[in-house]
Amino acid sequence: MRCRKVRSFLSTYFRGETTPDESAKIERHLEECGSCRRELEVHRSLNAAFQEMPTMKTSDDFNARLFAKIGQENFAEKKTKAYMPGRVPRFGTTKLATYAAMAVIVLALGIGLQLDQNLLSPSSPQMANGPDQPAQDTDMYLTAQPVNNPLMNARKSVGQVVQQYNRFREYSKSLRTSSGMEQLMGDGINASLASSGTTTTYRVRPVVRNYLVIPENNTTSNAGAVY
Amino acid sequence: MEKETAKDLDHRLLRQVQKGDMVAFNELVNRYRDRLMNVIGRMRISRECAEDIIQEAFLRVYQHRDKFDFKHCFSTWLYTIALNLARNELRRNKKYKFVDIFDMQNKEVETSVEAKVPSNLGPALQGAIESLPEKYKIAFLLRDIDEMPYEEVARVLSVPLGTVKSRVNRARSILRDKLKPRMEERNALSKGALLPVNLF
Repeated sequence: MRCRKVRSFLSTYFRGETTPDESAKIERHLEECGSCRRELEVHRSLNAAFQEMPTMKTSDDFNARLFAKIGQENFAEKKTKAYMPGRVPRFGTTKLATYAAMAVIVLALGIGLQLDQNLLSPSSPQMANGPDQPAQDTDMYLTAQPVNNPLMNARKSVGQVVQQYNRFREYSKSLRTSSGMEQLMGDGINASLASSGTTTTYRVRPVVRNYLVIPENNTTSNAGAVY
Repeated sequence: MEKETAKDLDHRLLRQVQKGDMVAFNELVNRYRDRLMNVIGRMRISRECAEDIIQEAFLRVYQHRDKFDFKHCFSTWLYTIALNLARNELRRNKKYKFVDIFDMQNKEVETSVEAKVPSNLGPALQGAIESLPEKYKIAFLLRDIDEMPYEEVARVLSVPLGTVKSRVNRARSILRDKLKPRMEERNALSKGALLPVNLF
């Protein structure tokens, strides 16, 4: 082997990356050639210098920042999925306890409000102008709005529980149509929900909605009409 | 009991991550964050930017955790994502180059000090690595700085094994040419030779 060829192998030779045959040839040459031995020293010291270079490390808060980003991504992901048909979040067994606790709060509030409603309005709807005319009635609904950021729509568990509750009430009052008059009542109660390391506080408030009760014989003809 | 390899450990952790285990994901991040920093931080990218790239790589891993094919190495996947992001950043930097005038002044001072002190090799080595052409630089960083096997470097870069070996060898050769005087000086110093001293 000549010097030029040997030098092209030196960087791999001392790292043990050459074949045994190549290594033997290089060693034979190195025994005779001082210049190539010096060249090998340069490679060795260069490699040692690279090994001694201080390793670059990420900052201490790297994981905290990464997990905060993941938390935001998770939130955005759930929001998108909620609007996709067939992918509406359902009650899972792992979150059953949370949902159950929320349901108890909301139902307790609902029962309390129902009692208030009974005090506010008569038990039977008032007949306005005879038996065939629509009569007025009121109903209680619940709203949930995050306290931390009022611009955000109510999402996650509290919002879902309230939505379920409102749907149930809507279904049970299917003979009624909304008059569109709503009024927020009282200060409501605050319900906190911890998720992905952040706590969101929702203000759950009752809403009084005025209804026109349509007599049963007019229901089919006026179905869907909004007064 | 057979010892769990790094690949098996990564796969086990990733399976746990797929089930929603964030502690496992934290462990995966800890296993690779500094290794990635040691590679990407040496690619003529600012420290803050390198951290952002690594964070983005982990974020993408997390987003696409369910799509990972367990036939491959997790590290190959992670490095491929991170290096693609780093390449994009380098391309963007090439297009719009911002130079802080105060940084330039500091660099000049550092270089002049370093030139008089041969033992201060760090910045010279870092500068030599940064000045390598991109394809040689990445191959060199993965093989010689991160000590990744040639086969895995080939998979990360999606090039044949022979090409990787040739690129690494070429990078070493360029670095040797650039740093040879310093290395000879260093070797001479370690053998007790005196350097010429400029008194004026």
